[in-house]
Amino acid sequence: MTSLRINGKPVKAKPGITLLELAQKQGIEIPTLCHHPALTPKGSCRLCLVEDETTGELFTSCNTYVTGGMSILTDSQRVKQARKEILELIFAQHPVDCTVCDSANYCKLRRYAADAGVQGNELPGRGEFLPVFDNNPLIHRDYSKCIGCGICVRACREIQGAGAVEFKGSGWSYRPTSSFNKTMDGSSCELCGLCVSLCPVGALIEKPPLHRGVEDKRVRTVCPYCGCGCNLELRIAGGKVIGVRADIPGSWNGPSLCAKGRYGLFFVNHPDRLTQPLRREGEDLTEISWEEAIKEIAGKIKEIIKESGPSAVGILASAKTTNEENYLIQKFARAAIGTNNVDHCARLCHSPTVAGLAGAFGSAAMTNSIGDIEEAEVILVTGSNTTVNHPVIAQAIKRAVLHRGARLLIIDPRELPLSRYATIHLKPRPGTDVAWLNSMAQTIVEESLHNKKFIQERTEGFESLVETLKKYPPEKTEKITGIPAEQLRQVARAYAQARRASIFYAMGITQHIRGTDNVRAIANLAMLCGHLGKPGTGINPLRGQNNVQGACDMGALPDFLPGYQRVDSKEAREKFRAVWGREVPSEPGLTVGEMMEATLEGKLRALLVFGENPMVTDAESSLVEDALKQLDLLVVQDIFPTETSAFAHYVLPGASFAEKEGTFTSTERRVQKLNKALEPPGTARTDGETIALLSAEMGYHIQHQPAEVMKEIATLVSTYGGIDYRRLDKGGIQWPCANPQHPGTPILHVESFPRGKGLFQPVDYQPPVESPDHKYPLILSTGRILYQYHSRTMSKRSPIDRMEPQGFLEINPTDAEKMGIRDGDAVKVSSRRGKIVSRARVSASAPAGVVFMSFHFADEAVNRLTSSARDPLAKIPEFKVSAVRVEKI
Amino acid sequence: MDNNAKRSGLMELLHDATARKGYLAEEVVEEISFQLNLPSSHIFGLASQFSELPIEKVDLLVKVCAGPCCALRGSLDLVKTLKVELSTFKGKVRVEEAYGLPYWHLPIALEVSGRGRKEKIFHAFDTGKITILKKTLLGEATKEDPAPIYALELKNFASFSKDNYSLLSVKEEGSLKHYRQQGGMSGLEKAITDSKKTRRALDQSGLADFYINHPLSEDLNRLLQFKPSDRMIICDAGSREVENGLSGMAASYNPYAVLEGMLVIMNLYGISQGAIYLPWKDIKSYKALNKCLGDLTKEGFTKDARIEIFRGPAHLACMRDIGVAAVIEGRMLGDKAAEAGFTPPRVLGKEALQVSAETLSKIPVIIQRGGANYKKSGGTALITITGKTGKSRVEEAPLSISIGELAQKRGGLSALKALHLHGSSGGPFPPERFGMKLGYRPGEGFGGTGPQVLAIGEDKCMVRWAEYLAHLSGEMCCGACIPGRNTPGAVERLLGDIASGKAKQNTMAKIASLIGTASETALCPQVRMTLKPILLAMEYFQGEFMAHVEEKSCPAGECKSKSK
Ligand code: SF4
Ligand code: SF4
Ligand code: SF4
Ligand code: FES
Repeated sequence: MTSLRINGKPVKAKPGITLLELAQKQGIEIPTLCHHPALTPKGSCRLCLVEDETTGELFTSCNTYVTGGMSILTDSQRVKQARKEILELIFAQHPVDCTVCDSANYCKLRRYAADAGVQGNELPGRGEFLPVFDNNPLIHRDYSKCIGCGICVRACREIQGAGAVEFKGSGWSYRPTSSFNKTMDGSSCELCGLCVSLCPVGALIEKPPLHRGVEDKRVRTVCPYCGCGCNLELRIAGGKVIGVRADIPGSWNGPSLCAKGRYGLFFVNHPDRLTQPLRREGEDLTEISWEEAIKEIAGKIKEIIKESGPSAVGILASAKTTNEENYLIQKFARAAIGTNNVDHCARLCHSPTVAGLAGAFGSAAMTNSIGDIEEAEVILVTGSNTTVNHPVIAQAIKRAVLHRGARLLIIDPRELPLSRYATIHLKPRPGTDVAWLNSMAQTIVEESLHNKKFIQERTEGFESLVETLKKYPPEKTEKITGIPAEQLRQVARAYAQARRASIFYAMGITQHIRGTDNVRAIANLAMLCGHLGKPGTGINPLRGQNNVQGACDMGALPDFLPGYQRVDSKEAREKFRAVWGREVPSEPGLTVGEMMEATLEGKLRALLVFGENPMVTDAESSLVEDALKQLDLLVVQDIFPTETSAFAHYVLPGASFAEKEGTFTSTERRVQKLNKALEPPGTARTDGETIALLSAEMGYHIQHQPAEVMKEIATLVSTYGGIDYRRLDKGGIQWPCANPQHPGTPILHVESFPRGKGLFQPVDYQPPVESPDHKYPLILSTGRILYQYHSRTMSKRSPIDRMEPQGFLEINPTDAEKMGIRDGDAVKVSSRRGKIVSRARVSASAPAGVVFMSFHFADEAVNRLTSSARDPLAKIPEFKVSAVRVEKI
Repeated sequence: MDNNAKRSGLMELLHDATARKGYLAEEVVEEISFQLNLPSSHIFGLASQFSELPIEKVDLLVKVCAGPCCALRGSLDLVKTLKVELSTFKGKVRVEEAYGLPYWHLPIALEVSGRGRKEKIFHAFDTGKITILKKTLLGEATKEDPAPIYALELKNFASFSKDNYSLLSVKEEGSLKHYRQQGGMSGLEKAITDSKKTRRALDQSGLADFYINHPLSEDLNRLLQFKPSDRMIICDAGSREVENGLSGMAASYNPYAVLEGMLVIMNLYGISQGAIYLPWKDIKSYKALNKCLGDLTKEGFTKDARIEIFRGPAHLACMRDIGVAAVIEGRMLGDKAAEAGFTPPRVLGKEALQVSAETLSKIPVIIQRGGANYKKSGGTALITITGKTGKSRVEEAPLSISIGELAQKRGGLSALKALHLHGSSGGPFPPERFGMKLGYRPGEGFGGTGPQVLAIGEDKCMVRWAEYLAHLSGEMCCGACIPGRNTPGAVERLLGDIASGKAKQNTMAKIASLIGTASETALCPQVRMTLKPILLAMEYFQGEFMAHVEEKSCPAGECKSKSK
């Protein structure tokens, strides 16, 4: 400890802290304009000056460290005078128009000027200002107000990793800007809004400014978009969401969010919100009361059960709704209706992960944490366009590369935004993952780079793996994958020889007919090198939706009860029967796709859908449409009308994430609490309330208070055993968390695997179902884009929609030229199953022979083209490979 | 290839691209950004710091030197006039103030370039020749019009002193043998092995004391705290030479001497890596240095030492050395200058010692002739003398003579109001201070660039001069901190108020207070160094300032409308 004095008071301080930190600890405020605790201090505004009485020196407290014997004055006459003059100098080059400034109420400069009695006209002004850039739909840049603090530049470089803004010029005009002053979206900016949120003045502001006043309150909650699970605060005024803020002390994501989290949450206020139950009467939907709706729906369900048995009813739970609600939905299905026909869209994204990793380790989730990404020496990303789908995780990967010297290896058919950070990017042909994964493993074994100790102590089945691998020397698979053998060997060596190497994958691996095999091959690779159980290692499947992890954990799956307890296990069923007071059916139920097929076969008659939109998201949507039309009862609860609700007999208004309490479990197994910020519009109800009402009507009472539901979950699911709301109020907890004292588990499999030893599961390569041929010469791959989400129900009703309001077909320049297609041309895309019209985007991101479309846009419903061929085990459709033809129209 | 390795070639790529197209086109920047995996904003930001890397295509670009000598001759007004005069030019034209043009000591210096034009440097231009210049530039000159201005070949300049330490020489074709014949050190090997003697000679010479900005001894002490493999020596052989008005390093110092000096220091202090930095255009020196390095290597003098020679932009806005460091490192991260505010930068992860080519070139001679001899003579330096003294010149002068003596010898003292020493970081001194030695070190930390003496005549208004100095200060500061970014402009405007008779009673006090605050609070010493001359002007020429404030009159008659 170092002893010094601050404003005359003797204090002790830890060496290595700055004077500013010391002062803050002592409750002394020092004005700062260029400081942010998450950024390297730059010392550019010079406002945080303090005086050392012993030497008479002035220095900046944000980047001066405590030294013994100092006697610091934070507010001496000299300090005040200097600060005042610095503020005067700022205003000599800053318009004094606070009255009309959108950030006036939050502007630090204005506050400090007021404190120091600076009016802004003390010095003659330059009379010349820097330009305003109002050319982006979300971010307004007015550099006449910029004070050059550099926070945006540092934040974009150090936290976001995009480096989209940089200082330009020198002298009085030294200011940040984008390359060639381009619009932000035309640069490497990802519109994460971090810079905007940290700008201390009104130079960077959100568009459109929704509210100039001060917010009524801020409510901490969790972003409802992707599986990253960013913590944020909703800013509420006049019963509306007026903005979003991150930077909550202690949150895992600090100040980071992505474009969706920052600009995509205003859908909550949208006038399209459903507010009243609706009943189909012929072509029309007419408003009815909740009492009528519940009574009629429950009556019809009872009738169908009576006529066709409980298995004629299916329920789609939701990766968007809370853990508690998913739990209630599956409980309702199993206990009140008596069927295991409950599934949700995890089927369409990570069911192979569940199948593949459960086989290898005995549990299926991201093994490591977002927080330890930066510890890795090597990061292998495959089948994941992370920047688009998991932006805040991509930020951590970029930081690892930029600031920690990690090597990024990408194996993905498309050129990705992350590619520019990669040491090497190999581009396999779509659908050939087992081949290259096996070849990597083969190289590692052949060159004896495998971790013998780990294999010996922690795994089984190595010999049979080695046997299989013999068939996969890289030279041989080169013909299948198109990856040059030597390059693949380099990647294999880099991965194997790193002390800590992690793998990140997403739907590029799972959405294949051999998705489960792909996941198994990945597990083999990691076990081979012992890259598990340590920080910066692991297998990290990135879960797509905010609560897809939780929905799976909660047993919204046809074959698993909550906590991955198998429905065909008597013991498990008994455990649940004891709490629920009802028998649990022992036959596994139907998956999403199977429900559609069963409907067409007349076996399934009623479908209850909570917050999902299978019409847009499921493969081969013409089949889905036929099925939905054939149902005797289709009930949809959602917050907006959807393509699926268009076919519903009853549409129920749901409460959004901002209007309820509950928990989401993020991709890193972090259980995090939502808090209610607003009342739901009209008569809208939470999914939990609806379930409770329906269930009661059917004679089975269900407690739906979220805190109580969580208590029940904790008793039945051991990994959630220690989770309760009081703990969650202080921050999220990563499962497994066995009891109230357990701190949570950032890294899985440290000592052993849930199944004891890790199991090598040798797999063989099999080609995709469809290969391009004469008639359909191109491979279509589907995925997401940064500015839209899922079927766009939320994103299209937020300002973020303006960034990319239309779908497109990405096509390689060579292919485009062959077909005479130019950028922006309208094109017809057809497959064996259907055809759609889109707009061409000619881009080298797509490799030759492969076209890409996002699945967000209902009017360019790409899933009319995809095939419903499924992985035999996980039942996931092959979204990533369909043979198509593209024609100019 | 490793990204960092790719990035180290960035500066060369940018210069090459500029040379090919005449400017840095957006597509080119995007392509480089893609190839090097560097955000294009970084490249754009980097390029925007250097006028040699224009990001805009122009058909006619006229850069007018706005350094002190040219400014004294009215170059800032020339910029304004040319802007108007050239507005009829068909095509995109830009006229801009420039700093660090060669030949600035022969004011006014201009550099003309643009699409399809060979770059041309004019000097000794005077405002009377504007019509002819315009005609030439617009392509309207007739045969009868005399050639407007012509570029001088810079001759070897005369030595003022018999004690010639800089070993001027210089021929590209000069061989090692020739250098030795000229009196170059013959005992390099001995100097290297007999390190005790060498060290004594250097200590005795006092060489380290002279360069105010290069406290060699202090820097060395700091450097020695690091492992030899972490030590590096950088010779900035760029801007200083430009500031001396010379066309290239090899025109002033013998490249062998510079390299030998570097090798001696490297050996003496266990430094494994050396770098010499040259302005991009100084190809002559680049070739010469490479040749000499080859010769020395062949003779086995370089041993394990690695010396690399780099080229980059000549004029770096502020913290020149840091810019050099960043260029050597191949990338300039915006914050570098700021972070390095008070400590010399780490370059390529090593602690770097920075020495000028002038210092290095003297080392072999000092070792040969003995340190004490050097000390006794007071040493020499390349001096530029220009302004109201007749002919401008650059010469090696002994530091023991007074500035008055120098001015006397080179044109006389009559009608001189002031001698302005050390350019942007020195100050104007009135006749009562003319006895000051050329090597005078005021102690309060100004100095900086190679000594230059600018003679100011009676007809110059010192308020206007101070206003110009504030303008210059604004150009010299990188802008990374608020005092550095905003103070020069505010001071310039307040001085403008004084000059135009709009000042209030407290205006001078406010100026002093602003400069005081900036000096105490700025991120780096640059703004303090460049605003200091204004304080000196206000102190030494107080009467002239007061006449403007109180009587609204200009004794020099320059602020015409207000003069009596
Ligand atoms: S919005 Fe995000 S990516 Fe864009 S400049 Fe700001 S911090 Fe960088
Ligand atoms: S735009 Fe805002 S954050 Fe960026 S430098 Fe200017 S004032 Fe700072
Ligand atoms: S990264 Fe995901 S969780 Fe975070 S703000 Fe974006 S969409 Fe929301
Ligand atoms: S906050 Fe310390 S210098 Fe800006």
